[in-house]
Amino acid sequence: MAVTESKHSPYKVKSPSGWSLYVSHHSRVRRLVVFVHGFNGKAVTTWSDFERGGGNSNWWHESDLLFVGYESTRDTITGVANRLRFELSKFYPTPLPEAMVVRGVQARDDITSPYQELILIAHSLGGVVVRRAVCDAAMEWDLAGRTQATRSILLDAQLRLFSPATAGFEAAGFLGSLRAMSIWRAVEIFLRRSPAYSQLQPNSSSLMETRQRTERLAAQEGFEALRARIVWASPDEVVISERYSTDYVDDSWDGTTHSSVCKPRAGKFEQPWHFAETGRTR
Amino acid sequence: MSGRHYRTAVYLSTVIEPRAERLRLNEPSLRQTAFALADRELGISRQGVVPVEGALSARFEVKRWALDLVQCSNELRWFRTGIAAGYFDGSPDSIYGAAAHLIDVETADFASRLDESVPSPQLPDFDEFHRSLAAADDAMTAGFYKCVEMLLFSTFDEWAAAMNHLSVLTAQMSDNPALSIDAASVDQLSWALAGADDLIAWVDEETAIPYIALEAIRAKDQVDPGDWGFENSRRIEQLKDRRNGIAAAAFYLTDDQGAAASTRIANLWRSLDARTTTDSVAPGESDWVFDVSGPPTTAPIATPRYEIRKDNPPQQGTAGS
Repeated sequence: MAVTESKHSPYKVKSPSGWSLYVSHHSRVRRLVVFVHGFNGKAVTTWSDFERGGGNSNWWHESDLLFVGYESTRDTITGVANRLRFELSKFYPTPLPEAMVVRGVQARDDITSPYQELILIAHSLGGVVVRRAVCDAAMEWDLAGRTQATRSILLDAQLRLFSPATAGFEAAGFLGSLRAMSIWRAVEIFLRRSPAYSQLQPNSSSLMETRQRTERLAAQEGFEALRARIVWASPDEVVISERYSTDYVDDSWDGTTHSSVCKPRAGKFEQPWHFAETGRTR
Repeated sequence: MSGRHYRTAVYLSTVIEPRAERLRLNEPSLRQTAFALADRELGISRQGVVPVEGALSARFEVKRWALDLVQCSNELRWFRTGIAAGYFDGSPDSIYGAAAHLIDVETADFASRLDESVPSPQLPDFDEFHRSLAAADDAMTAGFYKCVEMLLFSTFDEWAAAMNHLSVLTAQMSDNPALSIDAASVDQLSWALAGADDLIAWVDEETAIPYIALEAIRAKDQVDPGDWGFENSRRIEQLKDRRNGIAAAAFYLTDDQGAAASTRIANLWRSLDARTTTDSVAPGESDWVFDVSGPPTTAPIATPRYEIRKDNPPQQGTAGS
């Protein structure tokens, strides 16, 4: 049997639970790409098509991929955002040491050079998580006097969001949309009235606060990470397609749905790879 | 730099070693009971049905240990298949490669017998194995483990209580489409809701490397359909049946209190109406089943559509009108 040598190998981290690092075997890795899934997503499988991007471009060979898992039926947005804000420093800018040498086997030739780029990619609810995490990191830095020592690594990030739920779910369609994605998660979220359920109602205080705080700081020097690049599904019947006033001008991809907008296909729908790499939608 | 060496080291270090460590930590009597329980439920005992004392087998630690044993067997099968697919290092001469050195002889023997009792998975190619392994890893949630534990190792009483709990939930959801229950209660049921998703998918769909415990149940059914295999299969069917009921009721969920109240009144009228048109329904039993043939709707529903079961005449939207 002909064996293809994979460009990345999975390393399931001990903590935080549910996070997986896909380690590149390229001799020199330049960036860490972080993926955060949405309501019905799973840590890795939501993004598995991205992981195969390595076949398309050297950009992916030079990237380690970190998949952030969480339980969308019970975790709170704030809880996942805080986990991301505090735990990411284990993975960036220095590659996670425990994953670089395992039982005496090195992941690649250069295991110590720090990454030069941090890319945050998120879908749907994951977009809210990422925006909240970066917003809180910015607030923290602002309140601490904006010294270099107190600057969070999240403020080095570039945000690429696929149909983020940052303006909430469509008022009439939230429960219906959830049902369309996964009836079982919808039932659990609804019955327990999970915090995410109320937080994602349009104009919820949580969404409004994150937006106002982000817009207040985003235009200032040193807070470029607060400006997101966004692409929407078209038609998207799940989330309200509305960006922040400080974001880059957004775009939509016709013929995609809320779920399919972040699923690249070789030769058929390669825009998601291109968007992740460059931030450009066309 | 070989990715295969690295993947092998990672799998041994992050999957097999922690599992082997958990399997070592237990008192001998519990360990032997757990072995007997897993042997019996998966139909691989060399001595026929092994007697397992009921009170002991119902202990939480025994079930958890037996579940670890099943999980370990599943992980070893992934490792074996991965060696064959060129994903992990290893020689075909040694069935579990380097993993064999990390687990005790008894566990390796159990895993090997379980592996031999089910059909070998069709050998996936490298990419398919890589994708399947990621999907399997994503599926291994706390809810999934609990679901396997309930299907395989819960007592008759525990299983009956759980099924009754699900029936009550269906009735509550039908009665009150705005139902809200406390998080702890939802947590208790989660194994049968989102937790069962991947397991049911494994039952219903062809996957590259099916879950070993389900394969064992299927294999047992074919060999001895009247024995324990049948009981496990019956449980799967019961679970699917309860989930169908909940899924039907879920179409009507709404956080609009007005729409919920209308649905409750409609249900009450229908219930009263049904009792006047038939005397074949026992007290406390519902003779209604939901018609789930239509698409789900998110609009407030005042008159949900029902299908009359058996000898009741068909009616549509008569309640409250």
